[in-house]
Amino acid sequence: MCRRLERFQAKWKPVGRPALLATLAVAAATLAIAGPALAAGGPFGVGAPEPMAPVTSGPLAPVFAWVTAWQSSFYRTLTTAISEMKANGTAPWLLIALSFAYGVFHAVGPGHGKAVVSSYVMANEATARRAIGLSFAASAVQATTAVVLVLVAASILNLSSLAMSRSIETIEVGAYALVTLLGATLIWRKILRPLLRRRQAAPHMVEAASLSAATSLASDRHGHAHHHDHAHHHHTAEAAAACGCGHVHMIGPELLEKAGSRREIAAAILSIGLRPCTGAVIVLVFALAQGLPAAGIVSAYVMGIGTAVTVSTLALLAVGAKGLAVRLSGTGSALAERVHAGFEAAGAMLVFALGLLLLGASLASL
Amino acid sequence: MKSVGIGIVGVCAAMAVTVTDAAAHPHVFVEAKTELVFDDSGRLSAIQHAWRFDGPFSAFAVQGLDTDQNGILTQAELSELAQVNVDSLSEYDNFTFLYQGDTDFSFQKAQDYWLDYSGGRLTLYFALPLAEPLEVGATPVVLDVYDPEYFVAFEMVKTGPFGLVDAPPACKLKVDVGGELDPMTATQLALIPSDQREIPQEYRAMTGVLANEAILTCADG
Repeated sequence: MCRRLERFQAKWKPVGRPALLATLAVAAATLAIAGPALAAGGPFGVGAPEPMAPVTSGPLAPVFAWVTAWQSSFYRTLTTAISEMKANGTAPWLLIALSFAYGVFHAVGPGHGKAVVSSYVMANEATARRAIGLSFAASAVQATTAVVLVLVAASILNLSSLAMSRSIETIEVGAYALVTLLGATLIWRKILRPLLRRRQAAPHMVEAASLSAATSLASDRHGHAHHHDHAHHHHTAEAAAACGCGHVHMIGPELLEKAGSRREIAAAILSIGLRPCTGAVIVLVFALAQGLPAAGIVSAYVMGIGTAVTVSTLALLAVGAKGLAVRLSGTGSALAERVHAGFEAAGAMLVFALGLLLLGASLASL
Repeated sequence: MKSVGIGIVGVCAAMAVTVTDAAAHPHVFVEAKTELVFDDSGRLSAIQHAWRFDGPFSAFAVQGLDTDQNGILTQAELSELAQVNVDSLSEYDNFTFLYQGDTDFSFQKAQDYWLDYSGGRLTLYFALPLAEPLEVGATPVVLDVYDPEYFVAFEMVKTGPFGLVDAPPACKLKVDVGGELDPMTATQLALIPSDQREIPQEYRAMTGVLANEAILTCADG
């Protein structure tokens, strides 16, 4: 179980930067809790499983055992349903129902999707609607990746399973690099920049502190970018004077913030959706081999809907936990602002740590 | 700095919630048939496997390998896949665990490996020579075939799951095959830490038997 982890650690050992060490410490904490088996090549070299974290101890272990048992059973029945459709021309309803159930249970199981979505919405001023939207968009992209990959690679290019598995591994590295990048951006926006602001505004300590809180509170919801610039207003004013457009300090940062968060959302969706689910890919290739491509495609998308239901439930929990913690510490109070900022910082660090962990593991197994 | 502190606490809490992903679930189902092969001196010298894969995994694995596109997959067309299979399996201890008490025995690289494709199913044949041929006496030698991480669900074939090849007459094989493990029980077993070979009594009682264990003794007389 720890082979790949050891390899991963060996690769990273020579790097001695404190920041990286701190992140690795966070990553190590993740491992201590979850102890992932980061298998990327798979035991047969083809059809590699997604990186995952088997839980073999702790209070949740029996729950996961139960989920795993059901997931396994749905998967087997699902593939049998495809054979049945081929053999007896049975209706696709059973396949659709099983695909949905498999998706729901699969999302509780291996995969980084729900972790990225939950941490991302925690790091941002995300509404319930946005959390759900993000989950469904990511799942739709993931199903599409599987369908396009199989249709193009298998039916058009007639690539071998070996080549397909290699391309999935390459995509995986890209997806995890994207998670890391997203985490780095969040850390900059939610931790480093507010800290720098506070330092710059040191003479007006009190004002700066409250502004810094306001910064994070206002960041996405209303785009109150003019708040951001209060602490060092003179910078923007100078810049505005230099380029000769008097109101740019009002619009510029606001637009930038919006564009930035739009890019971030796109990155979050892609980082989850790029790596297709192995189960979906196998089912699709199997359906193709049975001469039932439509059944495979329907199954992949219905699995995606099931996955999105689970992921959005967890993302809503994350949003709810954050909201509850802020309310409990008295909305508007200094403590509530700190709790809020703390949640955002935690979310940002979590996304970054996850990205590094997954990226390291998938690079080590290439 | 306080918010950073809260952040770190938050990270730990969130880790516990979001990153404790579930155990692996099998994407690959294998029907295994395994033989214990002896050399001329009557020592246990190799383990010979025949592993039949499930239809969906087989369909995926043979995708694009019918290079002459005649609808028949020959051994030659499957040779690259067989090579990749055994190379990858070696990183997983070949899912083959041979031990006597606390002593684990290791294997050489896989030999004589090939793939057969018939009836929509792939079968991988391969032999694992023991690093040192083993003189087996009255003390039981145990062979387990399973995936501790449960990505691969192993199920021994119903008839003749384990066999002896060229074994001295004194050698006896005790095989526990009591029907299939249901997925729930199999997962419970998978939850036992992989360094813990002895299945705890409560699980043994719960499952009744373990379907993929062979116990070998060669007592004279």
